[in-house]
Amino acid sequence: MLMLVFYIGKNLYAIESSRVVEVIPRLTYREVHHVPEYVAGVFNYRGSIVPVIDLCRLIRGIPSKGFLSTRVMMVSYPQPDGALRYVGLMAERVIEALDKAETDFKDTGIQANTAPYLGGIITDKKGMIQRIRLEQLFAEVQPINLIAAGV
Amino acid sequence: MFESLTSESATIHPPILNDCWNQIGVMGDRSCRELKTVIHCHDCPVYAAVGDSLLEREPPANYISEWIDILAETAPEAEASESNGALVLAEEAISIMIFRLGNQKLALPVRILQEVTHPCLIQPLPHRSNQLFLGLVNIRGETLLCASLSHLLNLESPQEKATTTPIENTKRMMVAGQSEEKWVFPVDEVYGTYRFHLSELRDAPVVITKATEAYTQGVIHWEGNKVNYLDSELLFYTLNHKIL
Repeated sequence: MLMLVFYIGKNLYAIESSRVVEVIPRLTYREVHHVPEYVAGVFNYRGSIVPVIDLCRLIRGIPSKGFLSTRVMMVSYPQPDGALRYVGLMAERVIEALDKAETDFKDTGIQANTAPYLGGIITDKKGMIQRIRLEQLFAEVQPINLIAAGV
Repeated sequence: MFESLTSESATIHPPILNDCWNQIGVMGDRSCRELKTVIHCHDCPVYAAVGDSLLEREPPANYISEWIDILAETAPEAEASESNGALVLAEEAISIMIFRLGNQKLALPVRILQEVTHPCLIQPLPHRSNQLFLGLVNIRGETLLCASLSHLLNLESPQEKATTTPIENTKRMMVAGQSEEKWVFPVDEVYGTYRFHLSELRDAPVVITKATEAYTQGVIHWEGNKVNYLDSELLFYTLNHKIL
């Protein structure tokens, strides 16, 4: 399974690449108010309004740096009615992909109830990489996306 | 507070400015031990890490606004259909090199082309050089004949164009022909190679107004322009008869 690797602060995280549509540079976004602070804003993604979630803010509490290596992973997820919806996930140093077996991810033994999207950990020569479970992350994101899209 | 911020950023992104490839790598004295396993610095993880660190900086001006426009305009479907020429079957397709002479866009089949190089000195031959036969050029140690395509095709002279296009660094030399019979043509700009289906090649207009059409085998629509696809066999035949 090909994983897209990125940094949140000093720590490595990964998401499965099968859901990633493309990786785009960080832009400036239109602010949306009355949503959680980790929503960086919305932008015009190829004709549709798509929200961007700052993973650094969500997981670590500190916004992503404004560097070139800070990029947005565009991921798609199916709606209950079958339509695809996009969401941008912003993280730091999105520059690498790794091929790892799904079984290599070991359970951490800790499960944060407030962050069920944090999954198992794999050890690599770069350090420990924690997987982010996209399904659980989308469950968190879904209500915000509905607001942003004006549904 | 300011100090604590700077120290934190320094620990996260240490400045990697160790250009070891210039010191002990392939550009230096080649004494690096890693070279035995990675062969070349380009395949070394140290080199790759320094390359990645180039991204650890603020984006340049206009970069963000450019990308906002790109992502707002292009539809995702358009990207998938962009590779229209790449899937054409080999026996039904032609690869052509599109280039510009003055304001005319022309094309030659890639199979008769040898290379495209930067402009080099044309050495005129006394009593032989004229507007068509420009002289001799040195291409990789080989002395080749240089002919003016714009004069042969009776296009307007490039001197008139010089006032409108001040950018001269697009000029190239195209080396065309087979093993024994090579010609060098100076051109104003080379756009690259493109693949077209044979059905995209339209017949040249029946009404022939200029001498160029005599060498035109067909017309191809490319990026909103009409490109003259030249008859290479006739071109070489005429060159050989007019000059040699």
